[in-house]
Amino acid sequence: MALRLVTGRSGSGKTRYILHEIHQRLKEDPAGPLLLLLVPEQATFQTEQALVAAQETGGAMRAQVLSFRRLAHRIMQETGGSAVVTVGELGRAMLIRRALVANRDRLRLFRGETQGLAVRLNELLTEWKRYGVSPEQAQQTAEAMAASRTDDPMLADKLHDLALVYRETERQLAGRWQDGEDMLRRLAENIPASSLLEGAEVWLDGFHGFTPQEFAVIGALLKRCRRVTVALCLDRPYGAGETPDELDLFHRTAETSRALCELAEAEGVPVEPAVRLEPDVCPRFADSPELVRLEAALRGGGPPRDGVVPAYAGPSAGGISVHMAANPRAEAEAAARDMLRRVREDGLRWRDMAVFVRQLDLYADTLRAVLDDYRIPYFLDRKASASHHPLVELVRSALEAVSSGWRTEAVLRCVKTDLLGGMAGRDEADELENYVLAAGIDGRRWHDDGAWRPLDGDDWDEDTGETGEAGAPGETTDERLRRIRDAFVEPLRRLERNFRAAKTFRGLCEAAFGFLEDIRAADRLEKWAAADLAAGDPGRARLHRQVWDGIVGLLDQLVELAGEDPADISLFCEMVHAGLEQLRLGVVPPALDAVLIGSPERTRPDRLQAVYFLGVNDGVVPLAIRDDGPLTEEERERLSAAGLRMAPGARRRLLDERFLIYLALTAPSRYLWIGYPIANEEGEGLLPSELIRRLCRWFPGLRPQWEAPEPAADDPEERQLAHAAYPGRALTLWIGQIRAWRQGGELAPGWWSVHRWLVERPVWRERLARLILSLTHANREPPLSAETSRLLYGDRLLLSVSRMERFVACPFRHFAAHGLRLVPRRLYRVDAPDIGRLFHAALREAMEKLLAGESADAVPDWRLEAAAAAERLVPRMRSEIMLSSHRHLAVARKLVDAVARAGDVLGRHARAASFRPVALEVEFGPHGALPPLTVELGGGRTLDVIGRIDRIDISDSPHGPLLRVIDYKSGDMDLALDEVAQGLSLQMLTYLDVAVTHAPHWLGRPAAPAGVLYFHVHNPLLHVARRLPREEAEAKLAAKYRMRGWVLADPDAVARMDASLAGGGKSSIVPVEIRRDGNFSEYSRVAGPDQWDLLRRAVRTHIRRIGGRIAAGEVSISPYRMNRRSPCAHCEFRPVCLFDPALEGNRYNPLRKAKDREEMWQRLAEVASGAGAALGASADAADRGDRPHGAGAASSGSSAGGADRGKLPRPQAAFSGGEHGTDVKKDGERDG
Amino acid sequence: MGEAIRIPPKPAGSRWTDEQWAAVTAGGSRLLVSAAAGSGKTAVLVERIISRIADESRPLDVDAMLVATFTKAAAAEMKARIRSALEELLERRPDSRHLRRQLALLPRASITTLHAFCLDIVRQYAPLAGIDPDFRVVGEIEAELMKSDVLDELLEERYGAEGPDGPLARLAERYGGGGGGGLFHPPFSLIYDFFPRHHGARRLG
Repeated sequence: MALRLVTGRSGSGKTRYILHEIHQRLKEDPAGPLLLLLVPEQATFQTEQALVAAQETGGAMRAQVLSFRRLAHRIMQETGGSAVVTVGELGRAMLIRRALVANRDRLRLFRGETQGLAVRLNELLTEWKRYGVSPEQAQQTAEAMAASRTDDPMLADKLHDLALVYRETERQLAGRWQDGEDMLRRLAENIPASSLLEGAEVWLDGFHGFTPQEFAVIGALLKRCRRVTVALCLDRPYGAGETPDELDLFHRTAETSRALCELAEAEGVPVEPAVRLEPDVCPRFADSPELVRLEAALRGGGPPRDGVVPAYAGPSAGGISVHMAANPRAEAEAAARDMLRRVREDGLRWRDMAVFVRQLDLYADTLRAVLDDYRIPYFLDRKASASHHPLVELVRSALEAVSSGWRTEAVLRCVKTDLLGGMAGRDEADELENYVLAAGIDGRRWHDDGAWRPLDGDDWDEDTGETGEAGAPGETTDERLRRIRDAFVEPLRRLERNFRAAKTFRGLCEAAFGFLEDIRAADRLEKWAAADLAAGDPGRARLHRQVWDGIVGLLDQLVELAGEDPADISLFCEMVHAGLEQLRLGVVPPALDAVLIGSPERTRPDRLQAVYFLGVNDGVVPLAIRDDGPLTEEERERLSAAGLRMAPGARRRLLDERFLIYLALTAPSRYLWIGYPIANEEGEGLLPSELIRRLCRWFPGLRPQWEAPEPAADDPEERQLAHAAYPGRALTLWIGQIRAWRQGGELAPGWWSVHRWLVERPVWRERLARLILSLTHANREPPLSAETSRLLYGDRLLLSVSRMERFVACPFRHFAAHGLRLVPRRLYRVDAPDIGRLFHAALREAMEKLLAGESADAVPDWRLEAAAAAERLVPRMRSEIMLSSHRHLAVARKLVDAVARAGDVLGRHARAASFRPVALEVEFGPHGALPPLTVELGGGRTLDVIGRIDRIDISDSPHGPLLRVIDYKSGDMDLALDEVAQGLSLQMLTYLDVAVTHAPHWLGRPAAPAGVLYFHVHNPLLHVARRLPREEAEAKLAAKYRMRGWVLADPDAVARMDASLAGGGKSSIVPVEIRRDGNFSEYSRVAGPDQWDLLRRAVRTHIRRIGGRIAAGEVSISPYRMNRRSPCAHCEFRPVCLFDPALEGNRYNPLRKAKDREEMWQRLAEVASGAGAALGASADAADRGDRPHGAGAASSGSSAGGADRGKLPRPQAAFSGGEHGTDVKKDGERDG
Repeated sequence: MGEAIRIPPKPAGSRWTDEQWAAVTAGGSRLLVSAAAGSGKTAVLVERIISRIADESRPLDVDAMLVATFTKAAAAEMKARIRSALEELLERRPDSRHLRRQLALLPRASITTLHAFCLDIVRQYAPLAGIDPDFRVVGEIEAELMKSDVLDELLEERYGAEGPDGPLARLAERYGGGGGGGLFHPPFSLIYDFFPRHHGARRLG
């Protein structure tokens, strides 16, 4: 029945005084009435410890440390009365949101019912409720404001909306139990009946202010208990009616002091004289004159002369230090090193230290990482978000999947939580993901069994017969995929069905919970918890249960508050989503000896010797509080003036920031370490807080110390070595030092002692050795061993020409693709190779008539012929990909157009030429229509060159048949002889070589080479400045289709390709121009018979060399570079090779272009005669070619196979997947 | 326009030039000060702000002003200058509660870049605009991804509505890339970036 205040500045011994008093009472009578010490929730643990530590008498039944909340529980246990489901913040935000939606038409301003708005309204309405503002009062004020025209109409409207929402939510909440709010109200009501509190003595410590509910509890305690003592950090007691200065440092506690006295007066309880602790030197700072001075300086001698403080002139004892760091990470590391030093050299314990950060959210991750690195135990006073837990992710993604119409991204997130799918595990999940992405499964296609077909190739391809992964016996690939799919997706389907069937929110909640039961989520979590426990991580084990309880609690709240509302799936999903966002995991209980990490606002430290105050930047210390609530600062002031009681506004809170800074800086008894980064983690510049400048002014010897992220060579040795504070970090720094030293930097000798320390300890020695090896690392790939190469490629190498070209471009790329057989993930989209395949297939179909011997005129309209072929093929591309979207349909139209026009042009070409296709899509190789080119590599190994030739044309000249090879390309390709000379472009000439070499065999007579030509399949537009006459336009268009490449330098031969050339001029079909004198112009791409022979020999030399290099196991990372072009630009294996020209050992293989044609031919000649084996190889292969391969050759004409080959009127297999795919892919690469 | 500019007489021995003095003290009107770099515009502005705040006969709190700059650095510089000017004044008038209050309120003052100020306004009034107050400013890469998603959806929708021979298809025909990676896609994002959205952009077609 009495109030007593204990006042004193920071460190004056208030807590000690109270503990001593409790201790005295216990000594006097260990079994008397309750001695209750009330402290803020987060301080209960420390205070309990302190109480026990201060007691010599072990028994503490009489004395108890409780928070308001725990007290409420205790009293409720005694007096009875507790509700089933309590409504938390989330529940209230939910109700507010519902009120916003339901009253959309009546609201004047708050029409966007977003979660952020609901949360902010909840804060404001909770505040009103706490401060006793009723919905009626709010409404009356709103009406008064609306009526008086002088007032702010916007504020009147806001108030109208607020009152409306307030009334609605309060109506909903009536009779329900509210977390926090009602708890204290009930506590205050029940205190008079509590026998536990009868005659008890109560102390309150660590509070700066109280909420109205807490005041009500204190009021009840005052009447019920013998005495209530409140300790306040305050320079002097303030009595009833005494208003503190708004700029006073202790304004907040002074207000509290006054309010407590007024409360006592109102309750008729006497106020005892205050205990004023005002020692000259606060006991906390007995050992630190600097901190004494700091405390005084921060107080500024009190108003009104704040800020005018004489500088500190005493001895510098290093009690205060200021540190400027490159970034938060460097700052935290510097602090960690200092902690280690204090522990090692000053005998401090971890528990004697604390880290303060004003905005803990921004620092928590950095601090965690750094302190873990340095193995410093810590207690983080902050609840962690649960949003990364798999169960949270599962609920989130499952709801999204079923509410978004089966968006694949959501379904896959769900699949990857490890909680779905029963027996199906990660491998199955990966397989499913790969398939789904490649096959373009999305939306309803998830359930369309027709869409779940094997992936490989187009539907006009023959089945490759591959079944993929081994499945259950007799199970096809697609059956297996569907089985995996169903294992994962079936529970989601049931969830969707139950959602659709639900009529109310209750139904939706039941469906969601049913889903969790369906997949046995609880069992899975139990298993995880058991595994974590077994692995010695009880903290993690606890987590799973917390998350489960959190989610079930969330569903309970939804049922409780909105259970009978009509079901609205998207609102439900949003509410659950918002709830999951706010789900917090409990704080890990503190260890006995750990560094405390907290914010000065929340954390109540005690008995600290060292404090590390980090992030002391402008705008953070003091924190510039943003008004982002529904009311602005000015509006709050107006409403206060109009009689609505409100919590302190942003302005007041800013003024109180100084008090928080005071508390933080005066918390330690020996060491104060203040740090600020000059840039954040993103490198954005940050300024120091004003506090830094003031500190430096108060303490003239104090200068910010630079904390570099790593030791700098020009630092003094001692500072450098200070970085080596913990072995793990020291190791990486030491390696950095050696690296710098190897590059010519200075090495402080002291680093060798770091080296010795590490070497002497086996654990570290091993890691050191490994890292030292890394110093000499070069990104090089030595050749495979002969044995590996043989196992990989066999004695008989089968190589396509494009594969050899790839090898020349970069041997490692070839190895990655064909040795390691890496394949990039396939995606469901139309790529250049797909288009290339369509062009080839369509044009082949269109050209077949010519092959059958019909004249070009037999086809009335080549355009229609080609278009029809393309139309037939388009729907069968890659699992109907072209039909899968409107955009693809438009693309398909363009492709068909391109093919149609190409067909038209090809028809025109055919009419103008006597060259006729003699073979289309003809394969050469062991199983092809033509035999391979075979080259002996030595060492018992041979090379078979294989491939497929798009089209071979023939024309019978008087001197015998002429052959030319044509290749359809979707990009504009030319045959650069430079690239031939370097071995980068071998394809066309090899094809021609094969055709000519084997001519006696497949044509029955020898033939001569007449050209290699690329035909560009496209649909060109003319860019012209003015309108053109039709003929001129057509001529220009025709020129766009001119084939590129090289032809035989023989007027008769070229006239066979374009009859118009017989009369001279420039051809629109082949790259040839005949001058009036009958000679070829400089422009013409023609080569004489000797030159064709040279080209053939050069190509063969290359083939032989490449075969040899591949067989020898060459896999070096050495991409070529010519004319600033390199294969790396479009290489899918860059994440594998990690080629970087800046790295040691990595450089391009530079290839130089020839100056002119002369030099080019010179080079080709060198290649052709090079290695002295070129002709040998040629003879070798030609011999074999002349006498075709194997049994078929020997019995030509007798066996069925031989007969086929012998005549070869048409190729057998049109397409066979693999090799062709890579072939055309080259196309795409060159397009770019 | 109609307002008269009042300039009090410059005291003797002032460190300001006549023009600077006019810029510091001119009242009764909006004012545009235009001067070369290094001619002391910031100094003048700080002085103008300080003399307004220091005028205790017409008390005005520093957090009721908006001082907008173009760069963060300029804002920080401005704030620092105002702070030290206030501190100097306080040393001369140590009993001024008004000045101490201004120092204490300075962290709240809107001395900031235009962008930060606008962001504050949007955040504060977000509910009235129907925006979630928890909005954040989108990053460059994220914006690109969003644009490309939106474009994909839009194209799909338009192609669906127009058919393969509609205006969009014709646009693609003329301006789309060939085969390969571009896949007949006109460079929409280029068009978007260069199209003058800010000055009353009109619907095309």
